[in-house]
Amino acid sequence: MSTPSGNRMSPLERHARQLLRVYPAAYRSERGEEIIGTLLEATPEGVAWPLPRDIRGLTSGGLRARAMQNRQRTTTANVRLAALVGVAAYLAQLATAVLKIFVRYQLASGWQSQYSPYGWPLAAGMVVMLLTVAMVWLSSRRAVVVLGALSAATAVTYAGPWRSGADTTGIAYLLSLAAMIMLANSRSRPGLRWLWLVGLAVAVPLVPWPVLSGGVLLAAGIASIAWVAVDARPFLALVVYFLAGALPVAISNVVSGVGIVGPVVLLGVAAAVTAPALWLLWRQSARSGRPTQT
Amino acid sequence: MREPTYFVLAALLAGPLHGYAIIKRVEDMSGGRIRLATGTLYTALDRLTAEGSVRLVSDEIVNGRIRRSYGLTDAGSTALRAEAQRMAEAARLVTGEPAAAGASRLGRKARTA
Repeated sequence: MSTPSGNRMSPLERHARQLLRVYPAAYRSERGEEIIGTLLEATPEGVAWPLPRDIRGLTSGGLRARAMQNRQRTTTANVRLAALVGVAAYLAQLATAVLKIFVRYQLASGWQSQYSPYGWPLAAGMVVMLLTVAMVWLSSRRAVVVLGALSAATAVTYAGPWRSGADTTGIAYLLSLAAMIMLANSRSRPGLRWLWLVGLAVAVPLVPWPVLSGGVLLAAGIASIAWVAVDARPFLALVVYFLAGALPVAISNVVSGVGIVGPVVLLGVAAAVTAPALWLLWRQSARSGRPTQT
Repeated sequence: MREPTYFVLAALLAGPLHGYAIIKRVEDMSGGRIRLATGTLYTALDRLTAEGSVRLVSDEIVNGRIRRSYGLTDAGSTALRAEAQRMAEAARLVTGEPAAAGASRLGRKARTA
């Protein structure tokens, strides 16, 4: 590794650059070299690591810079982003889970099975669904609308169980899809780093050990709670993702007479954790429609 | 105004400085009591620039890296002097010295540091 002037990078600079990764990428590209230069000048010679006060200063400064990023958006825009990511993650997980069952059926039948719930048309609809989710990040809202409508039409037309109207997962799928289409915005697409939740959601049905996938989700939940003071959006996105998956089951339980206590507790817990997160997000967001300076 | 912010503004009173020079000036002015961490300095500079108390004066390339110099704006100078006055009046409650004398000594300290 070499410095901007072409010299070999010292251990101190290498470690300082690692620390600098706490800052947002845009901030690093704007101020990174200046900060590194000041840090190298301010650190005594022969030292391989930044001083403890510089480690603390860069860490807190980086977290503060990340928190300031949110202030460029209004509360509404931040909530929209979190909800969009949460819904997209749920849809990606649902599509992956259906495709996994489809592949299992087909493998068991030597790719000859036309078994209705998990036949080729539904599989095609789920592939289009995954493409729709990808378009939220990569393309225009028009592409999301077209592909989303195609996925919904394919699934509704060909997937027998959903036509009965009794499958709450199917209804949740359609509602989530509609929500994702409404929330998608060409001018303000989520950054690629928001794909972490989608990646996690896609991995959940593919991991053969539920304990492992549950543990990873639990770890993500704990990490997002710890991150709330810096950015409440990941936590809210996780709440939306969990609710999108849990509500259909809860409603199904109510419809089938299992009981109403579960859904009430679920909604109560969701409201209890969402309200303070929303309040924090309001404090972290721009106060008006005009972006604030960072 | 927090103490590090006060000293950052006071360091710029004599003229524009780059990041490391601000750290050194603050350390000298405070008799070694305040040693600004690099991250803390840039967080303060970001905030002070956004508030209009500090402005970017110049930038140059040193050893392949950009080095920016920052200067005090009129608003920053006014805020600094108001803070010095406030602290002088607060100090007078304890020391019993006249407010003007206390204020002028703080101002002189900031100018000569």
